[in-house]
Amino acid sequence: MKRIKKWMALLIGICVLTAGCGNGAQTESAGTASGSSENKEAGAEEAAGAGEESSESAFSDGEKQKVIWFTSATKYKAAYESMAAKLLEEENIEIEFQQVADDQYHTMLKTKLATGDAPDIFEHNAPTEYGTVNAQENCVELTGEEWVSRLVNPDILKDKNGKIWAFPTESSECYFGMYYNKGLMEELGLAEEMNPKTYEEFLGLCQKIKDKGVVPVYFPDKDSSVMQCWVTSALPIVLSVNNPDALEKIRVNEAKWTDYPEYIQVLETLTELYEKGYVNENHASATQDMWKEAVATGEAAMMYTGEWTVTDMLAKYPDLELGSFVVPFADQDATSIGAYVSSVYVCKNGQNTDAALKVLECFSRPEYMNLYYEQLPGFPAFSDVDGGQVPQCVQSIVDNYVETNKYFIEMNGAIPEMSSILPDLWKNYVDMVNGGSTPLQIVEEWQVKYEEYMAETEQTGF
Amino acid sequence: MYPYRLMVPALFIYTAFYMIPLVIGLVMSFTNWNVENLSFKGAFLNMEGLHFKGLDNYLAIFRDRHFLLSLRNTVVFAVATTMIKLLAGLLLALALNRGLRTQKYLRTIYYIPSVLSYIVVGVLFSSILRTDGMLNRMLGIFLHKEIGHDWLGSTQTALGCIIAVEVWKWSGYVMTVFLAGLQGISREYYESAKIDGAGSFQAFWFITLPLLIPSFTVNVTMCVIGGFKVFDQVFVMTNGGPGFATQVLNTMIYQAFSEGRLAKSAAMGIVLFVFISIISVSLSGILHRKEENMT
Repeated sequence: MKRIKKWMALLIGICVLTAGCGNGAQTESAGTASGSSENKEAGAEEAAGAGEESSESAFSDGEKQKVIWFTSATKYKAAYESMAAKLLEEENIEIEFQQVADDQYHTMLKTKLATGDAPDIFEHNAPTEYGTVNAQENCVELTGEEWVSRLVNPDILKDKNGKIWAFPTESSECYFGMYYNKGLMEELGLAEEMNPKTYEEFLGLCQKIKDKGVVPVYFPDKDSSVMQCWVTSALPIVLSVNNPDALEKIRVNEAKWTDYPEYIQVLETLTELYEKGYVNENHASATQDMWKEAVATGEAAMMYTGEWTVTDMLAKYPDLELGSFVVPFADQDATSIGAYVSSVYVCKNGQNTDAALKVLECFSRPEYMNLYYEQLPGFPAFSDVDGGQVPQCVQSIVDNYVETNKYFIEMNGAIPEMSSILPDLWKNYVDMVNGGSTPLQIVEEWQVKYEEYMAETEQTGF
Repeated sequence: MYPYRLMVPALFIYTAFYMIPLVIGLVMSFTNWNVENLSFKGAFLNMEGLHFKGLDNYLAIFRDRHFLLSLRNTVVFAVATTMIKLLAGLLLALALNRGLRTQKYLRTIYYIPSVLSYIVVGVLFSSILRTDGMLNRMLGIFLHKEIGHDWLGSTQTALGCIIAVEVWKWSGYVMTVFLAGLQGISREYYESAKIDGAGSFQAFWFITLPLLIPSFTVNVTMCVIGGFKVFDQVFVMTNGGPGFATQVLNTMIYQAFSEGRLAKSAAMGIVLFVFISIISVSLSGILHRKEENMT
């Protein structure tokens, strides 16, 4: 018995020691996959800048390939499943979608990239996040891919050297607005008031909604990336009145964040919403799912977000009717848009780079992308793809503001070099609305951190 | 008794996975190391682009209000959880050492939470502590009114809730260490004390407690070190929020690392290491002296 126990202990010890040593196999049979580790680097360099490889038979006729697609709960779209199913059938490539919670996505992605545990594909915005994900170091260059010639606007994806590092899933540029439950507003008798022309009118609208026992604006502050939409979109609009070039000056260190009282003014508009009780009480622990459900079910009237949330919600709640208006910050009739698109990247150090590039090549084709837009109508990145019927609440913002040039580039997009440290700033906003900081403290501390980071990463002017 | 060469495998692993990373982290904490200048030459770190910054990183973190807040939260967490776990574990051990018929089952039940993963515990308690969760419903029944408190979303109660969850999870473990200590105390002491007219409290104070000092040493050391290393439960339940209300040192290190500020996160890690070392060495010294005095 003692001997058996000794052997068991030894066996368990060996298992424990070797358990963490292996990498998960990406292919079901070794030796045939073109993504094998010995050929990874060569394969990545070959694919980047080169034309399409004559690979139609390399994947569909060969062994089944597996590609890891890393994404967040919000970035992931159910529409990917139909595209992935078609890909498996035609190209014998299986996509494993790995989703993480939104509030942990950026942190986990950066950790994976920094520690060499990269997925094959991951989702992130482009080109504003090229620096955040260190695209030059971590990702395959896609400038020479065949599908680039079919992009509606390839320039939006280019970095300062004219290189493309990401594949756009949409061409939309983040159309911020206040989206509201139309049916609820009609029930409350406020349908005619859902287009305030001044900021005071907007606050008055919030009060009327509150008086009727409905939460005026819902913020899910457990994910700080939602509430920050208010600040990033409002600031350039407010600055446009007296300091239209402020963000550009800050970008090159010709001015500081603390030089502009408008930043504090914008933060105060945010705290005012919370202080006046216009925001849900459970905002600190509310999640994005709770947020969408609250507006869809009529618990809350409005949500401040971009079109990506709208298409998501309409897919989840097909009977829901959403309207929209642009919040008149500083009484200006303008909106902010992002200088980026939703995109996917291919990691240089993923397990199956060639198959990942093949995935993008296939997804760029109309027969794949149309599957996506059948479920989520929007603005395709490719000229030969049918975007479907865009929700009217989004189209109205595009027609009235984007097409008529009544827009500014949002704060986050105006200075893409600071993308890496933005999540920390967003947490500060959440801390501020919970009473842990004042707007002045936020701006002063942000200036210190911003300057430190820009100097550390040797940006122009620092 | 055994040749020193038998220590080589353990020393090798310890050096490779603890000492070398510690030294590298210490050196890098004095540089401008970040994700932009992170690259490799083969298997080795490429040192081009790195500059020595002296104590700048350390000065920056101690000037950061949120770092000081996370330090405070970490100390509060460690002290509070240690004290409450010791008390709860001791009481449980005393109660389950009295020869109850169900004590074997009860010991298992109280121990089970310590083997659950933090993900499971975090998801479970996040649900219980919601505005419409089980805790508010139960309180509503007892207090005959609707309770809609957001336990994890309130800056006043979030840290307390995480402390409570930690105590719930680890009291059973502390209990087992005390139980082992209690069972090592000879019955003769209690019989002699009874003959001399000592009451229950006197027996506990003058016999049980002093003879449990080795168990206290083990529990205090483990609880304090575990308290200062807190990460999982905060990350899963609140991720340092709301705002920075439950931010602790390890979550700050993790976030700095994820932002690509590798030197800064290394500096914070060194500060944490020094902190834990000073406290655990001091505590061990004090408790071992008490043990020696007793013997």
